[in-house]
Amino acid sequence: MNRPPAPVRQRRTTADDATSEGRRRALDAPGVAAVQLVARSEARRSVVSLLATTMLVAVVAAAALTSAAGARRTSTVLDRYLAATATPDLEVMAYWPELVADADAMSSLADELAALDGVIDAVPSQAFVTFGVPGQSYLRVVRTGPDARYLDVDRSPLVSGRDVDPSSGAEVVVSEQTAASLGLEVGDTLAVPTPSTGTWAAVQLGAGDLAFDGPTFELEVVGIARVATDLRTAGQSPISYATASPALSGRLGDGSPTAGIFYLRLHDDFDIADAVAVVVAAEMELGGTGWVTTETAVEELGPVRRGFDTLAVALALFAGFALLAGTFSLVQVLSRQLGSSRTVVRSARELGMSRRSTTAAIALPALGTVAVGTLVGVAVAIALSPRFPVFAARRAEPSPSVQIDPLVHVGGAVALAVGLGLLVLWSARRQVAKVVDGHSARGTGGVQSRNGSARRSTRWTAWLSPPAEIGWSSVLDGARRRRAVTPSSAIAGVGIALAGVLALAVFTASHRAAADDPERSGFAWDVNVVILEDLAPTLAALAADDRVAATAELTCWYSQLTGVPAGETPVCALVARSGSMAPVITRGRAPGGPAEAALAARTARSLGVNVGDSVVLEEGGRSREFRVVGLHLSPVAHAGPGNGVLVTLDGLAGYLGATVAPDGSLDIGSDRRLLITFAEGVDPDTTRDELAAELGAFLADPLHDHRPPELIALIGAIRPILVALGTFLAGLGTLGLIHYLTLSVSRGGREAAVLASLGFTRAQLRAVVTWQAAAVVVVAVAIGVPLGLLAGRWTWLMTVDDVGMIDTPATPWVAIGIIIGITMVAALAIATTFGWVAARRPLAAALRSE
Amino acid sequence: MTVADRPELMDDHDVERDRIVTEAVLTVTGVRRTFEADLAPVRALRGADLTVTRGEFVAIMGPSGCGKSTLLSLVAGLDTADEGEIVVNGDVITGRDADWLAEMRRAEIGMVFQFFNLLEGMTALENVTLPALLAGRRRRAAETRARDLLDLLGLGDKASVMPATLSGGYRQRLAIARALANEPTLLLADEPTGALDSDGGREVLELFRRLHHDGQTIVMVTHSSEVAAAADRLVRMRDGRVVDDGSGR
Repeated sequence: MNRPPAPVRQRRTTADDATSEGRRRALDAPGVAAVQLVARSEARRSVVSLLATTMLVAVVAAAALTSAAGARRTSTVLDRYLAATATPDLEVMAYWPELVADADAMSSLADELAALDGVIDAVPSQAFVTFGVPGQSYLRVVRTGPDARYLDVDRSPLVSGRDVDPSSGAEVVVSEQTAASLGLEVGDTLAVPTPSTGTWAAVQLGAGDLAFDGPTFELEVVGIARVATDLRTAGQSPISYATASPALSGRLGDGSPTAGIFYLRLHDDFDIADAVAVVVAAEMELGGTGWVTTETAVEELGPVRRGFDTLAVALALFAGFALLAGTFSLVQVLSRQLGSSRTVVRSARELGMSRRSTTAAIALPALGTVAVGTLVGVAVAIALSPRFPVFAARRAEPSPSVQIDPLVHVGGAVALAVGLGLLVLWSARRQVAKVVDGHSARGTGGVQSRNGSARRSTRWTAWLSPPAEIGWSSVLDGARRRRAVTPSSAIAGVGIALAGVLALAVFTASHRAAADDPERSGFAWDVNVVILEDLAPTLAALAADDRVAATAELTCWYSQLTGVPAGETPVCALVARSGSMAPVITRGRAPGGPAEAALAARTARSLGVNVGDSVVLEEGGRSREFRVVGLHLSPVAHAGPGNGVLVTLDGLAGYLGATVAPDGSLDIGSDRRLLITFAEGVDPDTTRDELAAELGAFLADPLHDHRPPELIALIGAIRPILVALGTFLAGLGTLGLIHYLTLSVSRGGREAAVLASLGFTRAQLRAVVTWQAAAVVVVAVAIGVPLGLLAGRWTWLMTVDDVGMIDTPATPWVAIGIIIGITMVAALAIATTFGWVAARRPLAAALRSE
Repeated sequence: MTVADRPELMDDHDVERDRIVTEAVLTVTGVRRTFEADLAPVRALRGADLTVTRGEFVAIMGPSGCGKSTLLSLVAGLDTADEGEIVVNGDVITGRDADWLAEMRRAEIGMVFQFFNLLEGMTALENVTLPALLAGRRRRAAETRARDLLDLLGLGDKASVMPATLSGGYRQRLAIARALANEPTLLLADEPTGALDSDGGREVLELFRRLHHDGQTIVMVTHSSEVAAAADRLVRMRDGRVVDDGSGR
């Protein structure tokens, strides 16, 4: 049986179907025009807060990019300076009259040095070694020499004037430090006293003291140059420099009181001992007498490099903090911005806009702020580039002009914009999901408890006036906060800014206390001078002097202790000579017997011992066991307070295998210092000068005044960066508060109108906003103050942990009070402005809107 | 309580007015109001005149844009007239500054809006307590008054509830309770049933009738004749003027 084929189910497409299909497609399509329309309306609706957001992005981008580029520029500036000035890597100085007197020998020795493996170039020169005018005790060197090539080495940039004329024997270019210390300007005359030939020869042989009994050259200062040692950030170079023309060497004659200097530029793998061996061999060959010293740029410029590195690190930290704090603020601001688009999201969805299109529509204005803000930030960063490096490092910049750093200005900016863009998209998507998936409290924001009944709102504000109650509860009451623009981001922004500022205040106060109090770094006396002569008469005079409270003698031996990596460790004994004087003991007690020792903190840490332990001090062939009875601050300034061992004089003699002479000195060469504590009430500076005049010039040596540890000095140099960071954080907090109040006032127009309809006066409406800002600040203070104090103390302790000084952090209560007061006043001032706006909005229209 | 009862709000002008004893609690004379707009100014009121006597329930009706809501805003002191005079309970309110108007609102006006305009972060009780606190009552007294009003309007068990959890009808009742907190001379209602379903609308109108029966003066703006029928006097507006003041009804 033929069965009819099963009917094929077909659906006929009608014209109506095609139309509806097309309509569906249109609804599902991204709908660029619709997205643009919604985005534009969102932008119009939030123009003020979008402008504030753009400004915030620009500030964050500018701060982060400027400081990051500045850090990179600062970190390379010394190498760029050295390359631009052709500063030699090694100076070999031969204090050897026969060599300097023989120009051919100098030239041939330079050739020999140049032929060594690892040497790129070697240039001969001569230098006057002289002391300055009375009161200036540091060494001064005047370069000259028959071979003019030295003028091409160490081409220090001129600050003023001109280079020397090679044919003139009476001109000199001095370093900035020389000019400053001698008060020289271009056109002045520099007197260069020299030792006589005989005196100089005796000094070379170690057979006489240096005296300036030779001719004095009068040289005209034609220029002032910035040599590498002028770049120091902490402390003064003990040597200052001047450069004369080759013609001057012709005026010197045979046996001239100069040293030979060879400037070498090197590859990395060069061994300095090779250069010394060549010079010594030449000395032997010529039958000369004298000694050879070397100085590398690495050693000479070590403090400069450390100073610049500290600046670079500080700027990098600034960039990091700016980026972190800025991103945090932006996250909050952007979330707040997007969170205020709930109504638009609902309407767009109700009109059939897809999730993706809705997300794009509300994200676009925020993405625009990110793009424009970042561009502005980059432009500002590039415009500010000539201002970097900053402070002392700026002096080394060979080309202080606008510089585009591709890594930071392009790469960093793109990374920042992309990161913030992704954040915006994520936040917008989340916002849409909240509304679409019904997590948003639709239209109202009532807070339901688990069983569905509504809970009571917080009532603790009931005793306040109505404006205060409404202002406070809009920030602190959970129910109101859900309804209003969320204040948590503003609280977090202000709180973190406040915490940052307070942390910086604690840090800088702790630093100031450390820098200003010599005792914290082991200086428990007023004068610390090297003893160069028989001390007995001086001690007797000081013991009878009313201006002097106590004197002591410090005897030190610099030891390469096994187990201590930081170079030489001073092992010292302190013996009171008159009055009472003791080292600074931070824990335990001072050593009382020859088998006891007190260690400085870093040394104790390196040796892995603590109070109560025994320690064996070992150096070369000698070793001796001591019981650690305390921790102390090393009294030797250049070693730092954390490096040292304090023993009794007998203990030191036992360790060194020496004997103690009746005058308290050891029978082997040691470093002896006289420590003087002034009596109460005398002026230290005046007394120091008076004693210098009465007892000898050595007391006036500026190197023996208190110097804080190098790290403390370096932190002092970067203090303006810390201030800038604090200002930046304060600015971020302020902008965050402004953004919150902008949104709060613009979105809270209806509530303000309702309050007005109930009879709130304009003053009361202003007060609502003011109380709102006050509540934000009070909560931010409650969070930020303890956080800032803890962060400041922790940062300080971590920073100076390795210095070994007394690092007790300071708590500047007055400054903290002022900062909190300024924060409150600023917030109230800002709130007053917004309150003024809120109180003058048209009421009727706001009350009629849904 | 009227402004006349509060000497601190009075000036010489008020003292003179105080002598005028009238049953009219609202007099609007020749009021004009023009709004600036992008294309051309919108003349919302073009010389409106209206008198409402104590205890009346007046419905102001008219098509959209006729100026009825603008008139209500001017009477409430939420907006200011360009010309004309408005007298509320014997006090001329035109030409007054914003703070004077705010204090007048506390004493004389209760407002009910289409979209309730409740303070969403406050409980029902707090919403009703707030106006009384503003008017200077002690908190305990204000809360007692608020509880009485909530009981009166059938919201006694909703005192601690947040407005968001209430239905539209309840929310409007709450708004009415809030409007009555200071025993206002005038209860102004702008489309009070506009956002409610028919049951909710009926409840609200029934409430208004009860209040009117107890002597409350009510001025209600609506575009619905069904709603307007609840009032005992119907005022018609068109093109910014009162075209029928309903005095013949």
